[in-house]
Amino acid sequence: MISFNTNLLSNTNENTNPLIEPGATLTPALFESIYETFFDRVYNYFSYRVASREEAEDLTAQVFEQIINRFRQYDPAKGQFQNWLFGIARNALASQFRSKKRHPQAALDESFEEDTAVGPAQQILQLEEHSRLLVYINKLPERDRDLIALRYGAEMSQRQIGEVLKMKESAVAVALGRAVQRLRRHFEKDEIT
Amino acid sequence: MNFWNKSKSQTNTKAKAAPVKPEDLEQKLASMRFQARPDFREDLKERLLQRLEEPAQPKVGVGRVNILPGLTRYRHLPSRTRLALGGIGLAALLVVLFSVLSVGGLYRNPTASASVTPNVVAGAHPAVPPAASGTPGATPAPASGTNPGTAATGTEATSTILAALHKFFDPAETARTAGFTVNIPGYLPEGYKLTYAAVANPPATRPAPASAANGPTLLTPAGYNLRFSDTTGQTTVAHQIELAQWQVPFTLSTTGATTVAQGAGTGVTGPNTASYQSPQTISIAGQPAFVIEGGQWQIQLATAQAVTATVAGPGQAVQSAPVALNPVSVPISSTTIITSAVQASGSVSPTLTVAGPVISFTQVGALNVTSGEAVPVGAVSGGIVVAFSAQDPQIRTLVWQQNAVFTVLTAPATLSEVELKQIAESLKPAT
Repeated sequence: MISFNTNLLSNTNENTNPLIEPGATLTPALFESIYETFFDRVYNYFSYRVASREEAEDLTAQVFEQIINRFRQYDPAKGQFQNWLFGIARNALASQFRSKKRHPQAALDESFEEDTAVGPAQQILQLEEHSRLLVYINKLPERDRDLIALRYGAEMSQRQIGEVLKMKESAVAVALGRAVQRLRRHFEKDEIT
Repeated sequence: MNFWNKSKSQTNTKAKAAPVKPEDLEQKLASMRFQARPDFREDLKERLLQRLEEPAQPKVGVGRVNILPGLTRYRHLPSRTRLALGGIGLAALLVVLFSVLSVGGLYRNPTASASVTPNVVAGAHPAVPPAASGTPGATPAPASGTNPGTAATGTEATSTILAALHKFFDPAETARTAGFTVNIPGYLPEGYKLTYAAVANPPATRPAPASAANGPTLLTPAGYNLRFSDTTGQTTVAHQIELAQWQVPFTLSTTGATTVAQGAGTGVTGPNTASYQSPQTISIAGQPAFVIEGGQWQIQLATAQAVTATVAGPGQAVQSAPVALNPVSVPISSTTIITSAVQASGSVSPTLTVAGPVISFTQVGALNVTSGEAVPVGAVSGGIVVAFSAQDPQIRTLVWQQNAVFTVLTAPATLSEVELKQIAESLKPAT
């Protein structure tokens, strides 16, 4: 059954970083912990950015593959683990875009998370609304889409986004506000017409 | 024409499109969640964990097609096609399995086996000692890496142990710490599984290396310890196999170790020593090894680096000087001085586990002789004393050195010497 999760995004994931000591070895237990902590967020991030479920799955697999290959390169002194992880995710996405020479346009309406708290009629309305949102997000400039995907897909705080994008937190707040404004204009324009 | 109505209609259309508040839009965005297919999530996790536990496999490229081979392309196939492919694969597997079994049944000769000892099964005591292998009428020795009497082959046992080993430590990292590649047995008696592993790091409070005047410099040995427990039987000390390996900075001479003193807390010789045993000498991969019975013992092994000492008389200091690469044998009778010197210089004890056997490497060099001791006049050679202490007296230990790696392999006395030797010979690098 297709439905939605209407639970609002918990504001940040400030405390979800696994404690990784310098020089730590990536044991199966640690990897499993990382996988369970970040899988949904990584997959959601890509779902905001690419056209199909298969692409989102491939990119998610790439990220966790890279974590295994490059774990020794992670230095806790240089920042949080999730910043490093989403840096890998953004690089994988950029590589994907470069190789395909196109940007996504389609929506992922078939993979929305189920939410049994919402009735069937409301689920259909939300499905339509979210599909439209994705279409509008894909019309935004690349930077806006990245900001929105990091904020709402990867569930990162503005401070964490700033660390990933090498921006000040205040600048992230302004840029994110403008991106939402542009998205809102698309949304309203469509409702008028 | 009624333009008023048109104007009114347009006004009504705009009135329906109420402006979306930013916070409402953020709520919509926050509620928009995507969910991966559960089978994809679990399949990916399983494959990645499997790959993590098999570091020797070549790295896979980052390209989409190359990621986790078999996953991406297979997933895009229709479900019926996937089902058909699975059926074809299963049928092919059954045909191959049937063929192999048929051929094996036709050509199997139960009396001729080059690599499997028919009467050696887990826990059994063979009638023929390993020294008789190869002689006419003797039972052929099992080949290294094979696993007679057990369900798993050597390769399967190795991969299982390797997978379990990664739960305790990274073999590559341990190899860097210990200075040599971690070895795991390709053969284990049936039911034994890896239950504990630890790295014996050089202790932080390592004693100062002996000076040139005190004999050869003893580097603090570093190594690791693996424990295998019989998970099918009782999980007591009597059903555990322990493997401890260290890199030692000397080459042992085997000619001097003819006597083992019982009792780890006593001197090698002297009034406190209760009894002695003559360890059986066997060959492990071409290297001499000692089979020692019991849970409390000390053995002194000579090193190729000799230390000569000149003793002027009882109660006087011994003057020593290292002489490199001069293999000599150490008569046990001369260890009165050596034991005293050991007590004077301290020892290095890389403790393995709290409950497990404790082995200590002790530098033996002619140092100061305490007053009142009987000191034989003459040359005193260097060596090490290995003091072993385990909780269970009903154990059997194999001690040997290959290259620079010193190995102590302990097993319950219920296991035969043949099996103990077989475990030792099946050791191979954990890559």
